[in-house]
Amino acid sequence: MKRISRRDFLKRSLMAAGGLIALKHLSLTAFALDDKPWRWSREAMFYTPTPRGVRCRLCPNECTIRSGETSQCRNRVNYNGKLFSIAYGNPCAVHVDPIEKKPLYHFLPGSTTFSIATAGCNFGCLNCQNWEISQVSPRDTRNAELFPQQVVSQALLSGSKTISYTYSEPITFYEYVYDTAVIARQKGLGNVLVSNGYINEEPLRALAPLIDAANIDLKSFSNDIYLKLNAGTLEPVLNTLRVLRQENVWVEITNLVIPSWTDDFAMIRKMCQWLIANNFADVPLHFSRFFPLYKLTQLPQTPTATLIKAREIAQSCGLKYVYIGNVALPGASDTLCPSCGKLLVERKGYNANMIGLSNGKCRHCGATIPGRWS
Amino acid sequence: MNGPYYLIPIAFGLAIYYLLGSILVNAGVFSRQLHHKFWNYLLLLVFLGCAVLGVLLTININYKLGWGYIRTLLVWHVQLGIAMSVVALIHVLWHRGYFFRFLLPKGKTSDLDRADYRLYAFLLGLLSVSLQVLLIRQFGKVFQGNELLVTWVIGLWMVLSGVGSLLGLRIKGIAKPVATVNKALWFMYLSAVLFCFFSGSIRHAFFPSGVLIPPWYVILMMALMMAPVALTAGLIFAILTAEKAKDYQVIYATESLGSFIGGLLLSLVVIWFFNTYMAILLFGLILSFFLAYPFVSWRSYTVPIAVGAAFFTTMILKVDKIAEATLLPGQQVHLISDSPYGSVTVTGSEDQLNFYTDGTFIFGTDNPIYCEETVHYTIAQHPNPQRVLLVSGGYTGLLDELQKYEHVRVDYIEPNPHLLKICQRYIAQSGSSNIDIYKTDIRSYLRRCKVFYDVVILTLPEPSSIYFNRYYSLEFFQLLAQCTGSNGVVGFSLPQMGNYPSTNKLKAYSAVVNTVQRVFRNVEVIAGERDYLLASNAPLRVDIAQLLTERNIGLANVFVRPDFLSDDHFKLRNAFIQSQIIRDERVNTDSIPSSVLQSTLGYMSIFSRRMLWIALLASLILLLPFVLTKGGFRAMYGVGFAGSASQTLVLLSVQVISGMLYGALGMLVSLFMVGLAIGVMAHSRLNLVKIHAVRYILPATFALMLFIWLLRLYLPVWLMVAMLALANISAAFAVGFLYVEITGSGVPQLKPAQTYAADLLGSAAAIVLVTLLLIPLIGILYTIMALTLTNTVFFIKTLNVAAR
Repeated sequence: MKRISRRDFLKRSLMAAGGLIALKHLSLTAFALDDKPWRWSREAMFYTPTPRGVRCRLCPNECTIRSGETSQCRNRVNYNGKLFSIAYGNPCAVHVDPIEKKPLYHFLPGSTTFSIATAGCNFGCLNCQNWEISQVSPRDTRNAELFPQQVVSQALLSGSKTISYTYSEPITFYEYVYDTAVIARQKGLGNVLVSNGYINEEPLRALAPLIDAANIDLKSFSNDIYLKLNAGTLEPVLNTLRVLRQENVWVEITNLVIPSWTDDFAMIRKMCQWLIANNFADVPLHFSRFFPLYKLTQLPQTPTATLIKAREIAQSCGLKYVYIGNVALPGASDTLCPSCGKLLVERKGYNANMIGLSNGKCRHCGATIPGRWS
Repeated sequence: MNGPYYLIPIAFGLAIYYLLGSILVNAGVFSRQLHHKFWNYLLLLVFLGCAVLGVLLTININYKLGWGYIRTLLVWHVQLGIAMSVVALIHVLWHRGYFFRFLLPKGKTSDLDRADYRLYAFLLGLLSVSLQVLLIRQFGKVFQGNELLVTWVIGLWMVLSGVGSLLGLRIKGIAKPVATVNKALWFMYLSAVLFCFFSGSIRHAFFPSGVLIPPWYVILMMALMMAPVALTAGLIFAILTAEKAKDYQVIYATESLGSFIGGLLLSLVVIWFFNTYMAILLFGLILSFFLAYPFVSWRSYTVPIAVGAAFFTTMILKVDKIAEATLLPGQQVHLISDSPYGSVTVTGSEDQLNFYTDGTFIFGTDNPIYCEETVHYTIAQHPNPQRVLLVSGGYTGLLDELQKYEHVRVDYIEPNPHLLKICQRYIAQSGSSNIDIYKTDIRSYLRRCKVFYDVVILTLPEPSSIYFNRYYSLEFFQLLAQCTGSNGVVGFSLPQMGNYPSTNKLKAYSAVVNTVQRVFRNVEVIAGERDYLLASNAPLRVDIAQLLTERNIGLANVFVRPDFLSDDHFKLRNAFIQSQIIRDERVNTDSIPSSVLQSTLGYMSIFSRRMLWIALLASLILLLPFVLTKGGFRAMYGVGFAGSASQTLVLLSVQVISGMLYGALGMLVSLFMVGLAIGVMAHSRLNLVKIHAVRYILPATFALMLFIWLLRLYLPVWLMVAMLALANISAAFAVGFLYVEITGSGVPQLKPAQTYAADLLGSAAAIVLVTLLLIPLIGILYTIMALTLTNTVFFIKTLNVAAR
């Protein structure tokens, strides 16, 4: 075998690397010939063409996306100057879940919900439990083909009362949610949004009339923590909560208590005070226990005592329905009457027994308990 | 950036690299003028940067310009200000002669001929091995290093030492070699101490708490922090061999002997009594005593007394706990305890105790859901459980759960006695006479086991490393089946498949399920906090709530109770998981650890989908010296590669075959060092015929390992371990011997530092390629086959030509 010199070796290696890069670019352009990115795409509902590319107006990230580029949420692409959602009819997760899993405690307790998700999220939470779908594009996941009409048919077949848009971030597959929700509403099914609430007001107001219930993650009450932990900001989430209430959507709030990140009691108190000041006293608040996941594996699980203290703070601020999730604590998930203190709904795992509740009222004192009970 | 300003990183980084430059100047690698010029320019640059930004800030404030990027300017103004202050301080230190004179041992001359160079070679070996182990341990803990990262870091240590040694080739006569070597040894030690104690603060300065750091940052951070120590180690070897070229064999052998003693001292004595922080201080004490010997005047005692005072002050003021607390904000550090099994940290948050091993959170108390699910889902499957085998995790609360079955006899096996001891100290356990605890390896136990178990509960870490894979391999489940009988039930858990499993996770998961299914007729999954896999030759049920009711289990539980669980939910989840399993995914065996590859790829995919290619490219770069060099350097690179590959395979084989992980590995590494020393010293004592025969030893060690792996099911374990030990010492002997053969005996034809560097670069490439590329991709058996073939060709052809 002929020996090559050191210089030749380096030269050939560089040429080979350059060739590979050129080949990649050629292959990308060669396969882009259709009028839309792929079968599972639909033109986005909220965007504006600008000289720099198209600007997505769906969420506060407001990505400006050049031709051929993808949004931060990974499922919106600029294709020939138009913005397309590539998460339409291609869910990667389809399950039938108890509604309590979302968690929704004051909304059709004991029912099941047909739950779907596509890949993609507009946040980058370090603790994401669904990071395998939220932090990738629909191009990278194994997807089913389930267009809106089929989703509704499947949901009806499963005996579910609602369809939940959940697991990853439904805001990023907005068009799919919207079209499915329209058909679901026509067929008598409810729509449930499980979301981080990071959406602009215009698309939210357009979607809200179709949504029956929502669980919104209020991940912390600090803009700095939102930025570092979730790659987002606080104010748009608060605005979402306000708008959903105005639009008469049943809202429950989840706050994940992460040691050394979101377990500051002063911050929790501030959050609860804001909720009270903004008329959320009747809204269920779920404090959820953190377990080490994804990129936050060097932290311990949240101590139960921290969760109990958080609940005490929320109650002392005036919140009437405060629950603790992901923990085996007797009574932590039960609903008590705020007037007489009697047990209304006993929850064991995902099983709910409405022992003290009748037609949305306390059987003992007759107080009205907010929620959609049937 | 976690804190607003990089005070500690900038100060440390500049100080350490200044001192490293200073050592290089003393060694004659660079001129003092060049060194001073560099730091003068740096001072000028940071001064100008700081001043210009200061002026801009002033203009902005005075004229109320309201620039949007003012915060960035301010941050950089302060960062440069910090750098300027440190560099200015360094200039003051140019007049440091007084301090270093103080460290020079009294009663010794500055002439290396008259000083005992063997002492320095010995101390170099002792320090470099102990500091390497302790730093990698500490950095692994701080940066949450896994097998992938630790392997890379060991490889990088060798590369850096090799580069240090190559830098030493520039040495052209040192005026005061003894003083230089002294300073270099102290520098090496002190930078290790500083980086050990401040590693948590440095991490915290750059990364938020508790967050998994991208591997490229981890490797970069570890490399930067190890560089002052590893580069200096290589440089000291180069200085010693440059000064005493004729005695380089003695230096190499003595250095190996120092490594042997250091390794033994650390793994068999020091680490049992002290944690990493205290252990690293203790080695300073040892260094100071050796350098102070023979204590000719009272001043000789000064340094040992000062280091001893620092040691005891650290112990009394619990500085180690303060340093550790920077890693775990919001938690109270109760204990840091090291042993050859790893480092255990116990912290408290509220009334919960948290246990970490090597920086990874393993469990926290107060998690009854996990404990109940682990025990009762499995035990409920057996109609009449009498005898239960629990493997690991007893003190997380599992033993308490098992005690709810009064009639059941429990054998609890804990493979990590260090963790067991700590758990027993911190977690109260109600005493019970029906529990027997065995501190042993589960596979060894099963081989000797004479009883049948009705239920076996395994709570071992996932198969993410080659060592843990041995608890999920076909061979292991076959052993387990022999002890469970026809109705026995085996239960273990994997992380939840969740709503959607990634392809890597699914493949790893499927490999395990397919492996279990090869041995047990029925395999079912109960989805809970984790996915609980149940295996048995008897029928299994997933309607757990119904089963608990029928068997009257769960009344004393808080979560695993018939009224809490939903059988519909279990059935749906079980059907989903079963539908996802890739049935043709290859099974997991000892020699082909499929799950390890998929777990590693899954870990890398957290950070980037291109990580695999980056890692492959980086691994191949390590092979460049082989391609780009020739002659003796290339030959020694090949020898280093073969020696290190052989050692790596011996260590992994011992882990997989015998389960001996810690003490035995320390012994094997030490044996390798002895083999090196013997090989070097034996060269001059063998005649020409024997010299030619030695070059076939390395291919022969691979052939021996091949033989062991092919016959591993038929040979007794003790014989296999003995043969592996023989392969280990033989390979080391060959490397030491060929080092002299290639460098040249008597008057060296090549510079000893050059061949030393080649040896280290080859070793680094072997460790990374064998552990991270070859074994995960083609398995242990085929790796050994490939190495046997390539080494035979190399040693017959290349080495013959190149060495001569």
